[in-house]
Order: sequence, then structure tokens, then C-alpha cells
Amino acid sequence: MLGDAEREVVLLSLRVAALAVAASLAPGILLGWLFARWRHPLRALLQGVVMLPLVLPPVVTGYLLLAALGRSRPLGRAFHALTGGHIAYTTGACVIAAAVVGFPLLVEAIRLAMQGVDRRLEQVSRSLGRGPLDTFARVTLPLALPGVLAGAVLSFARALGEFGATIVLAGNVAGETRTIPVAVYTLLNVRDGEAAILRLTGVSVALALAALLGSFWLSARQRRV
Amino acid sequence: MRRRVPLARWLALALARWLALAGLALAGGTAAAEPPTVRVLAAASLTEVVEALAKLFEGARVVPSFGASSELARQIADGAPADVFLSASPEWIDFLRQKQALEGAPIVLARNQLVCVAPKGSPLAAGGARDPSALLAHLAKGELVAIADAGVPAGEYARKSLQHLHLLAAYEPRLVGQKDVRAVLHAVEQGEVAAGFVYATDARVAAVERLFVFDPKSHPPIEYQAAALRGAASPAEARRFVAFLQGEAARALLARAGFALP
Repeated sequence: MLGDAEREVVLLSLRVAALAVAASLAPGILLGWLFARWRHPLRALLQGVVMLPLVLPPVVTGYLLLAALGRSRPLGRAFHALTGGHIAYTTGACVIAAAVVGFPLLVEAIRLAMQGVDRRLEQVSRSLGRGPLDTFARVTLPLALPGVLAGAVLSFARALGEFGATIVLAGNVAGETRTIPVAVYTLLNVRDGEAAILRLTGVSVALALAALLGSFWLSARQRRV
Repeated sequence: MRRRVPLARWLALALARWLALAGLALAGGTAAAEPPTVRVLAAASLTEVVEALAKLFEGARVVPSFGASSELARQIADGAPADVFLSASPEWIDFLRQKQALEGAPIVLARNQLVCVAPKGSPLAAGGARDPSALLAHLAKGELVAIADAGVPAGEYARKSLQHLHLLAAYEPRLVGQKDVRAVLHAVEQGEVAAGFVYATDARVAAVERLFVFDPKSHPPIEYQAAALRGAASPAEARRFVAFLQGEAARALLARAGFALP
């Protein structure tokens, strides 16, 4: 079974991924809806920017984040001056890296789900006197919910696996930023690390598979709506 | 009107053309008589020295790659193409000896010291952080210290030293692991961490402030070893390079970079 250090690593990974998804959900729903409904030349550009972390090398994403949020960089310094805390090399940095890299998957799933919602149902709601916000909350969002959840689960799984941007922005601090991939990478350097690597690999495969199956199941429900 | 070529066909044509060109370039490259190549995998702390040595070595082209000795040793054990290995610790030479990956006996290349560095202009330099326990006392809340990952020689020497001084547990929450000693050096130079543990020779190639030297009695001797590898493409050239490392020219370069010679 898992040792104490490995359990700490797994729990930290789960916590980071959960926080990343929680922080992404509201902006993800907003942007997913925007990309599904908004017809404007600027949409493609904005969509490109949001999708960028999906195709950029994660290490490059990490570098860009570090260049903005690093302890010696302007935003990092401003944050320190305001709060007395730091971003880089903390659990918060792990959450930011995981959220940014998982965000495109979330937005794309939500966009597809919202595009599938029958607009006539929204028009009926409007014609019966409901405002646009009410219609969104009572008609569009509930109908797109399985897709939204599928995206959340998928981006959760992506966040669990995030390594490239994390190692650059958050480094490798035991108990703070040493998530499953970082721990496995560290153990590769250790002479007798193989057994621990295998255990963490088992956990990784199990979590990723469970998340994928969950997201497939939710997507299938979305299609039936 | 011009007929539009379908995209797939256009791509296929472009790919075929590119392959043909690449094939020609390859054929031309192998046709000319090339000098043999010696692929040297070396500890990150040897970067500048080995690059200079590569230029000095005659009769073969030296292609160096750098990384943590632990990472390189594992790659060699897994069959990565390499002719010579230069390790920052005897431990990883032993590891390869056990895997029967060495060709002939390893040599002792150089020795080094472990030091603590801070960013240029750091208040720690003036503030009296002159040994590991004083440094710990001077660190502000949230300030971190960069250290090479576990298993990486520079990280192992530093951890053993801190353990010997009974400071490892107190340091643990402040330690940020880095993949090799040069990543530690870079994090310090960039001011991302308050301090970092590197070799004395690393401190000379970056704009950093040297705070203190670790007591050499607090960690195993920092000894660089070199060995030719069993999987070498040209074992004779690999052995010739290892012999060259013991020659006068190589020793002079190592000494100039601040390494102690065996």
C-alpha cells in the first residue's frame, strides 16, 4: 500500500485538481456560453487565446506564468506587497498551473453542450416573460449540465496529470507542490525509487481511467437530452 | 479558372518532397568521410569545462549533453546512446558498474566543494548568514531555498550535510527541489529563491553572492568520476577521451574553472 509520503502526494494532487476545477467553473461556463452563442469576428481570437494552453508546450505555459507571477516579477511582487504571501513555489501556483492547462477542455465541453441546447426552448422562456439571466439559469444551464460536468471531470483529470507548467511555476516542494507527476519525476532520480514509482503509477492510471469513464458517461447523457 | 488542389493531396505532395530532400541530405552526409563522434554525458556542473574540452579534443567530434548525474546514469542504464559518462558522484558510477555498463575502470576526474549562494545584492550576504543554521534564522517568512532533487548528487551532498548538522527537518518546508544543480543556480540568479545549494565552481559562473561553504566533513567527499561506456559506438575513441581527461590540457582547464585536482 501507499506510504505516508505517497499518500501526502496523492491527497495534494486531488486537492490541487479539485481547487483548479472549482476556480475554473464559473469563468468556464461564461466563456463556453459566449463561444456557443456569440457571433463576432473577435470570438475566434478570444477562443484561440483560451485554447492556447491545450496546444502550447506546458513548459512554455509555465514559463509565461512564471514570467508574470514569479517572486521577482512585477505581478509576483505586487501580490507580495499586497498580501505578504507568494504565488510561485506554493500550492496556489500548482492550482493556477493546473487550472490554466485544464481550462480549454472545460470550456470546449461546455461550448459543445450549450450549442446542443435547443434555442426554441430559450425563446419560449423569454416569450413567457423570463429575463435573459433567468432563462440561462433555468433553461440553458440545466439542459447543458451533463456536458458541463463532463468537462469538469475531464479538466480535473488533466489537472491531476499536469507536470510541465507545474514544475516551472511551482517547483518541487514536499507537501506543498509535489504532486503525483512531480513525485514520479523526482523518484526517477532515486536509486531505489522503482517500487514507489509503480505505486504512484497505479494510482495515476486508476484516477485517470475513472475520470475518463465518468466523463464519457456524462457526455452520453448530454447527447440524449 | 485555376483548379484548387485538395488540401490532403497538397499536404501529401509537400511531405513527399520534404522526405526526398531529407533523404538526399542524409545520403550526402554519410557519403563524406566524417570524423568519429564521442557522445559525452556529463554532470550539469561540468557544462563550461566539458564544452571547452570538447573543442580541445582532436581527431573526433565531441557531442556533450548535460543533466543530473542520476538522470544521465539512468538513461545510460536504459540503453541511451553514449560513449563516456562524467558523474558528479561515485554513487552513479557504481550504479552503472553494477549494471555492467562500464568499459574499463573509472577515473577520478576532480573534486569540488558545496556552497550556499544568494541572489546578487541579497540582504542575507550582509546580514550574517554565514552557516546553515544562521541562514535558517535569517530567512523571512515564505522565503525558500533551492536544492537539487533527491538522488541528484548536489542535492544528496546538501541533504547529507544538513542531516549531519541536524537541520534537515527544520529546512524541509523551505526546500524547493530542482532537477539539477544548474537549475538551482538559475533559480537563485533569477531571485526566485532566497538562497540555494550549489558547487563552488557553479557560483563562479553566475551573478550570485556566495554566503558560505559547507563543512567538507559534513558530507561525503564531492568526487567527479569519468568512465568509458560499454555501449560506446567506438570504444577506442571513448577510452582515448577518458585518457585525454587525465592529460595536462584537461587538468589545466579544470583547475582554471575552480575544481580541485586528484
